[in-house]
Amino acid sequence: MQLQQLVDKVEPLFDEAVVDGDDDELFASGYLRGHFDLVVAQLEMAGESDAEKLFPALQAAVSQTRHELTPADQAHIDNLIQRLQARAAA
Amino acid sequence: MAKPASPIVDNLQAAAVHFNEQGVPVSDTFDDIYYSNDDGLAESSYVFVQHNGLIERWQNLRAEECFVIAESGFGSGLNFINAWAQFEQHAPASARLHFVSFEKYPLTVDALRQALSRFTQLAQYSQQLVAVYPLPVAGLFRCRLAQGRVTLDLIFGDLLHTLPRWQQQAKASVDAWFLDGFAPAKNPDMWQSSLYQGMAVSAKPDASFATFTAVGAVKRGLQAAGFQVEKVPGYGRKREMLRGQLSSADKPQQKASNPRTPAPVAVIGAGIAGLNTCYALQQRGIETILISTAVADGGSGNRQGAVYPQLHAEATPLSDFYHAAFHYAQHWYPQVAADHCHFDGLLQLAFNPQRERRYRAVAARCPAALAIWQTAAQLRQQTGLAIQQDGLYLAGAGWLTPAALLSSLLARFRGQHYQQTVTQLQPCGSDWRLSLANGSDIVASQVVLANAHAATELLQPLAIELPLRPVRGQVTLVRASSEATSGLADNAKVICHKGYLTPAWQGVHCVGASFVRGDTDVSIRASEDQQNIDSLREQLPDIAALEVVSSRAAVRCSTPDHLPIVGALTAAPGLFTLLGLGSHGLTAAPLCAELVAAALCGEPAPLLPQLSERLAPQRFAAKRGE
Ligand SMILES: Cc1cc2nc3c(=O)[nH]c(=O)nc-3n(C[C@H](O)[C@H](O)[C@H](O)COP(=O)(O)OP(=O)(O)OC[C@H]3O[C@@H](n4cnc5c(N)ncnc54)[C@H](O)[C@@H]3O)c2cc1C
Ligand SMILES: C[S@@+](CC[C@H](N)C(=O)[O-])C[C@H]1O[C@@H](n2cnc3c(N)ncnc32)[C@H](O)[C@@H]1O
Repeated sequence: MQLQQLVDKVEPLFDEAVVDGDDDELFASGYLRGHFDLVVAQLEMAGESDAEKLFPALQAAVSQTRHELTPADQAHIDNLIQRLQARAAA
Repeated sequence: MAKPASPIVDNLQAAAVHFNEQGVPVSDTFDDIYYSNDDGLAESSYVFVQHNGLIERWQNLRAEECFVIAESGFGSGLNFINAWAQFEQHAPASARLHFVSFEKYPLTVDALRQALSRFTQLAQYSQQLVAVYPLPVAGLFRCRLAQGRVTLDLIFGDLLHTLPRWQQQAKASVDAWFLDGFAPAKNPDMWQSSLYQGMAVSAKPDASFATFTAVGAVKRGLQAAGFQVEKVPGYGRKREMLRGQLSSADKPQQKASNPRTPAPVAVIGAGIAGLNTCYALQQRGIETILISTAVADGGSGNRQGAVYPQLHAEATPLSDFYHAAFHYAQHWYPQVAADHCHFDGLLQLAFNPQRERRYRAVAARCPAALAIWQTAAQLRQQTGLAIQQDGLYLAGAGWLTPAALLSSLLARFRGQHYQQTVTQLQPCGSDWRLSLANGSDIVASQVVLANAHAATELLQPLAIELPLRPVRGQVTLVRASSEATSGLADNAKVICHKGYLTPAWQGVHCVGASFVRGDTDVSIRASEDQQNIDSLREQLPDIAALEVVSSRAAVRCSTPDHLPIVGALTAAPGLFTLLGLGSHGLTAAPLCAELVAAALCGEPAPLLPQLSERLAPQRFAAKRGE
């Protein structure tokens, strides 16, 4: 799959995930969405159109700032990444 | 609890206040007054104006110089409007005042109005402040006052989080600190060494400070941060207060702030980006040359365009940026070009389930003055149109006439304007040489690229690559066949769905807009007119027959993360970008132009670093290796 196709496929999940989100879930979603947008842009700039690279790059970006987060936030973010991956695989 | 990763989402609490018998606001949280019961105004003048030596310093300002004040605790804004009023009295007419204030618990606008109402001699200032006062959302909000002569940056959030970030972009830029706050005994949390350090880092070498308190811990904290501190008699019954300045000798040499830029600066492109930049530079007294192939020929040449923020329910960089940009644009346009803007409301229809979820969540999180959720029935009432969907309603958003606005901005531009295409950009000593299509050259100390996707060609020879993606769009201008009976004539609100419909202007509506990635062709296509109208009919099946009057196609310049590319190009000192405005250039451009101007002049930036870094051209280079 092309990167852009994958992005179009999983991006709506962010809007879906916020429906009944409490403050912590909203924080996790906003945090991840910020990273997601930037990672996509960076991959594009690096001439990467291969969708396979998206999740490893997202994981790497998130883990660089992991120390800023509480364990509860980390758990929300990991959960959301898993849901994005599931959507990608669907 | 605050989230360290993004203080932007600090949960902001409105101030809990009541007014005492003297009419002075009192904090319920801190059990302390906002200003003196006796004479708040006189105390403000005594402590902050007099003991920072402001009158004399203002009288000695050079023409067009900018004086920067920073304050802890904006409160009712009394110190601010007092400083502003006295600045107008004493400073040269062309000098500017830039006031930055930190506030953790903003007063509601009603409390602010009430708190200031007793200072009738300052009524004209309070009224202007009330008109631009931001909504209670964490972040930095720039307010433009006194026709741009006065800039107020309000930073909502705990200063212990926001100041350490803000100071990174405001090193050696502050002339005077107003160290205000509730009494240290009542609010010890705020009076911390990181506050004093932030004051020192942001202070110019000759900066002063003043504070109403004389508490020993404050004195020692200021001294430890590098200030020379002096005790002087306090106001009224208060025995002592502190004043002083940075002891420059102890201070590591910092770059001279507010460097006067050697003129001129060249701006390439006369769309909304370029003309806003010219405006911001001209306001700062910087000689500017504008070079553009044509005026209002690109994306900015449309007859009508919508102005509104893109909001997420979560605090994403995109949503935070657009909220800040919208706040600025919402006041900037009416101040600068009232005839060209119509901010009478805008609705965003929930045209699919994801949008519905997002809009509902946005409405649940946003202040109602920004966005509310409305049912289809309510929207029908708002517009008089047969709307079928629920949606988000933004009362302060609306539309403007970009092409007409640009002519008006250009007419007020006092610099030189060359209607020419720049064919090459080359370094030339510490300057830049711009080659024009007619064979002539222009040399500029700094260059702002505001020429949308065409910037790619100019940057390529310099080995600078930015992900600027052209996206073709076409708008269809229509007249309703039975305007009077269709209800279209009475609707004053923009209706956004997948596309958008503007209210009639001189009898003609604008129906937008097609979206073709990678296409730079601007010829008119009947198929896209049809698409625009079909997509509108999906939302408003009952609408009258529409007669196509004309069409216009142009190219948007978008970016992969949907944020503009704004700031200094570190690989090419002296080059700045204001590019990638995508589909929301009208909303983003005024604040982006301030960001460029601030970077160019060494002034405090209109965004906190976590956002300005997300707009910076360097963001696309991924950090590798960890
Ligand atoms: C169909 C359509 C509908 C839109 N609707 C809206 C809307 O409702 N609301 C909204 O906010 N936005 C809307 N947009 C987006 C908006 O138009 C853009 O975001 C905005 O106009 C971009 O402004 P700009 O100044 O960056 O670029 P442009 O307006 O494209 O200006 C670029 C300028 O650079 C000049 N130039 C280019 N190359 C050179 C060179 N080498 N030398 C000299 N000059 C050069 C051009 O002559 C031009 O003056 C729409 C866009 C389209 C296409
Ligand atoms: C005495 S009032 C300021 C009066 C104000 N300067 C005026 O002119 O009205 C103190 C202000 O500091 C604010 N404040 C308290 N703790 C803060 C913190 N940690 N960060 C930012 N502002 C804070 C309070 O909410 C209050 O508005």
